[in-house]
Amino acid sequence: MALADEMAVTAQRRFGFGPVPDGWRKAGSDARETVLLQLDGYKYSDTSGLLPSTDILRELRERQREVRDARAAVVNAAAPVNGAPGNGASGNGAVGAAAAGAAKAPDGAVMMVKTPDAAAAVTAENKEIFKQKNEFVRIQFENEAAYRQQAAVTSDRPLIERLTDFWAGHFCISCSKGEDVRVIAGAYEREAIRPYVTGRFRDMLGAIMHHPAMLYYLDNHVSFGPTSKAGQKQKKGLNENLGRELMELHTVGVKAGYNQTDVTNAARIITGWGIAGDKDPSPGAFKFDPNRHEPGAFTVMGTPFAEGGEAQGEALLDMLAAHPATAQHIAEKLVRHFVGDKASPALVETVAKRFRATNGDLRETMLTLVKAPEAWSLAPAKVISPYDMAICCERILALNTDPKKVVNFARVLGQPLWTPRSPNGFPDNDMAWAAPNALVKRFDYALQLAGQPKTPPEPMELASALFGPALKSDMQTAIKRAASRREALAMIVMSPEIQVR
Amino acid sequence: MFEFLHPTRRGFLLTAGAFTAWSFAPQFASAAPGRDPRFLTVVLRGGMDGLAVIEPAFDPDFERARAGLILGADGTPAGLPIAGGFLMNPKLVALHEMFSQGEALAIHAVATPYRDRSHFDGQDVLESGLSGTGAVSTGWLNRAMSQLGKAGSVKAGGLAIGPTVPLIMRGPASTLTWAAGGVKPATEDARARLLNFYKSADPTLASAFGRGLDLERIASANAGMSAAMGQPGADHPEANSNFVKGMQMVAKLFTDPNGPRIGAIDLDGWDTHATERPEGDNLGKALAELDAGLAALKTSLGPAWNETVVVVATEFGRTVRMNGTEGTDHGTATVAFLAGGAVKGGRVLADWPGLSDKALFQARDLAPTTDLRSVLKGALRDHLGIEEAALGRDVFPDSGAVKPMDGLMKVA
Repeated sequence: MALADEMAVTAQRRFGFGPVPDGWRKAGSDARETVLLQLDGYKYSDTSGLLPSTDILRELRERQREVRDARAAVVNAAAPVNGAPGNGASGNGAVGAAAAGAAKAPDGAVMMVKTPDAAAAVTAENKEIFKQKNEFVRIQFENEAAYRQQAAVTSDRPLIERLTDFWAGHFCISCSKGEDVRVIAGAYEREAIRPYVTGRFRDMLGAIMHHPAMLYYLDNHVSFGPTSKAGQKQKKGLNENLGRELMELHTVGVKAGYNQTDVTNAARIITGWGIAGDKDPSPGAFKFDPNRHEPGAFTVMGTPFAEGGEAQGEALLDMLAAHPATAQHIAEKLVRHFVGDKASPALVETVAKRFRATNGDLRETMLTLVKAPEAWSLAPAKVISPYDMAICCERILALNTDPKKVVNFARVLGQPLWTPRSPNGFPDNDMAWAAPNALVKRFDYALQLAGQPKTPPEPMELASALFGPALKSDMQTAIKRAASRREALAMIVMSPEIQVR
Repeated sequence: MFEFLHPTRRGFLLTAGAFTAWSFAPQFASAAPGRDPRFLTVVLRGGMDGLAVIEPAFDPDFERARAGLILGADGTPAGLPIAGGFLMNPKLVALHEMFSQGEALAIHAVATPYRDRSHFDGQDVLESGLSGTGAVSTGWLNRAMSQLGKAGSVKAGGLAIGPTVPLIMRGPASTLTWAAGGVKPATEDARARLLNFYKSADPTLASAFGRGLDLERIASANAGMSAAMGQPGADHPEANSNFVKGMQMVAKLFTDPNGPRIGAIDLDGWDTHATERPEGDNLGKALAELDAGLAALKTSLGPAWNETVVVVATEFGRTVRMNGTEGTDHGTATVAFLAGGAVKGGRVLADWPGLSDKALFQARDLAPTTDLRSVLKGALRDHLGIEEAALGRDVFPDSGAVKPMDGLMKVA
C-alpha cells in the first residue's frame, strides 16, 4: 500500500472532518500540499445572509422593552394597590414591578384582591409578547447553527472550518449567560472569529474584545472604573471578569507569572469598553465610554500603560499579543488540538517560534504546524468531538440533517453549541470525548443517520471510496458481518479511522 | 519523505478520569467498620424559589409579601405542615413523607457566599466551594473525595450523572459519567458486533465501549424496575424524565459492591421568571420531577438508603415579591435540603430573618442568615469523616471561619 494513500487519509482526518469519498484519490501524491493549499488565499466572506450582531441586538432590545412595558401594564391595569411594597426591581433590565393582586386593607389587615378582567387580558397579551421575544432568540440561534453546519459540511477548505471551531473555542462565549449572548453567538463567530483564522492573532484579539458577545459574557459592559465619573456617581466599581480571562485564557496563560495586581490593572485599563445603549447613535455596537473609564496610568506584567482612554486598552492588547508567553500558550493549544496530547515539546516550540517570528501571523503559524513531520507521524489518538462527528457523518453519508438534530446530538453528548459551561471552553485532550456512555450513544446516532439516505450507498464501495488502498481488513470484516446495510454504514462511521484522529 | 507510523497501538491506557472510577470501592478511614456511606449532591440549576417550596406561613409579613405566590390560594392544594409553622409545597409528596419519617430536613434562609445575581457565577460559586467568583477548575465534591483518598490511602471514584463532568465533580479524583437521553438504542447484537470490530481494530475504544455497554445493561435492567417500584409508577408523568432515570442509575451504582459512593446530578428548570404557579406550571413541574427522583432513589437504594445523605442545593433564591409576569426574578437566600436515612430529619433549620420590607436583602430578597458551606461541612464531617481543618482549607478554601453545622446526622 502506498504511503501517499495513507497520508491522504491522515490529511483528511487530522486537518479536516475525516475522509470523503475519493478524497484520497484527489489528493494525489502529495497530501500535505492539499492541506497547505487550504490556507492559501483564504478570505472570509459572510454569505450567511444573516444580520450583523448590532442589528440583532437592536431588535432584541426592542422586544425586551415590549416585554417590560407589557409587565408594567399589568400593574397599572390591576386594582389600585395601596401601601403595596415599592418597586423591587433592579439590575439586568428586569422591571417587574411589585405584585398586583394584594393590597393592604384600610385597617391594615391583609386581603387578597381579585385581578380585574382588564389585567387578565393584559397578562395574556404579555405572555404572547414574551413568547415572541423568545421565538426571535430561538430562530436566530437556529439560523446561525444551520449556517455553521452548512459551512462545515460543504466546505472545500475543511481546515478553515476546523480552525474556526478551534478559535471559537479559544475565545469562547457561552449562551448560558443569557439571551443577550445567545442571540448573537453565531454572529460573534461570523464577525470576530472567521475573518481572522488565517490573519493576525492581534486582530482577532481586538475583534473579540470589541464584540458585544464577549463584553456581555464576561461582564465588561457593567464594569466601572471606581474613581471614574460614572463610577463615582452611580457608586459602582470594577468587574475583573474579562480582565482576568483576557490574560489567563486569551493570551499569556495562567503559567505566565502575573499576579492579582496585574489582573486588577488589566481590568481597570479596559473599563469603559462596553456596548452602546438605546440612546446612543448605534445601539448594540461597541462603545468606549470615557465616563466609565478608570483614569490613571497602570502597570501590567512590568509594562507601564499611560492614561490614554481607549488607546490604553489597545496598548495593553498589543503587549499581551506580543508577549512570548502568548506564543507558547497558543502553540500548546494548537498542537494539542491538531496533533494530540502526545505531541513533543519540540513541536510546540517550533510552532511558538514561528508565531513569535511572524508577530502572530496565524497562517504562517499553521503552515509550520502542518509542515512538521511529527504532525503526520504521530499515531492518531484524539477522539473527535461530538460536533465533529456529526459533521463527519454529514459529509460521508451525503446527508442533509436538520441542524436542530445535529445541535441536539452534540448537546446530549456534552457539547451544546456555543454553550460551554465555563470560559475555559470545551475540553480538548485526547480522551475528553470518549466517555464509555458517550461511545454507546454515538453508535445509536450513527445507526439513525445511516437509515436516512433514500438510496443508501453500498457500504463496501463507500469504504473503498473513503480509504482507497488504506482500507483495513478489520473494517471489511465488520462491514461483511453487519446485519444490514444500515448497520454496515454505521460501522464505517464508528470505525477508529473516523472516530480517532 | 518522513517516517509514518501505523496507528495500531496508542500509547495510553484508560486512566484519564472517566473510566477507572467505579472499579474500586471507596473506603473511608474514619468510617466505622462495616459502614459504607453514600453521598449525593443534587444541583438545582436556575435558582429555586425557596419561599414557594418551604413556606414560612407563620411570618406576619408572609401573605402581603408573597401575594400571588401563596400555596392554597384560589382553591389550589394547600401547603403540607412540616415543622415550626413552615408548610411544604404539596408537590413534594415523597419528600414530605421523608420528613415525617425523620429522614429529611430543610435549611431555610441559606445562601452560598455569592451575593450577585448571575446564574453563571452563582453556580460556579456553589460548585467550586470558593468564597467568590474567579477562574476555577475543580469542585468541592471532587476535592472532598481527594480527602477520602488521602485519609484512607484508598482511591475513591465519583459519579457524575450527565454528558460531561460538572464543575462540582471536576478535579483530581477520577469520575465516571452516565447520561440518559439520546436516540433509539441499537440492538444488543449490533452492539456486540461493533465491540468485536473494536476488539480487533482498536483496544482502547473496545475497552471504553465495552464499559459503556456494561453500564447500559445496568441501566436497562433498572428501567424495568420502575413499574414495580410503587412511586413513581410507570404511569407517573415524571417516571420517564432523565432526572429520575439518573437517580435510579445513582442508586444502582451506589449499591453495586464495586460502584462509586460519591455522586452529583443536576436538575434544570428553576428559573421561574414567568408563570411560576408554585403548585403547577413551572415550579410545580420542577418540584414534581425532583420529588419523583428522590422517591426513585430511596426505593432503588433499598437498605443502602440508611447510609445515604442527599444534599439538594441551588445557586440562589428568588425575589420575595411577584414580578409583572406572575413569576419571580433572581434573588439571594433560599432553601436547601438534606435527605437520606442517615439524616436526623423532620426539622426545618433557620435563623429566620423575617419578610418585612426592612428585613429584606437589598429591599427585594430573603436575607441570607446561614452559609450553605456550614451545612455542607457538617454533612461531610459527620457522614464521611472529613476533618474540619481539611474542610476549611482544601474543600472550601479560606472558610475556616464558617463552622460546620452540628447535629445534622443521626450518628456523628
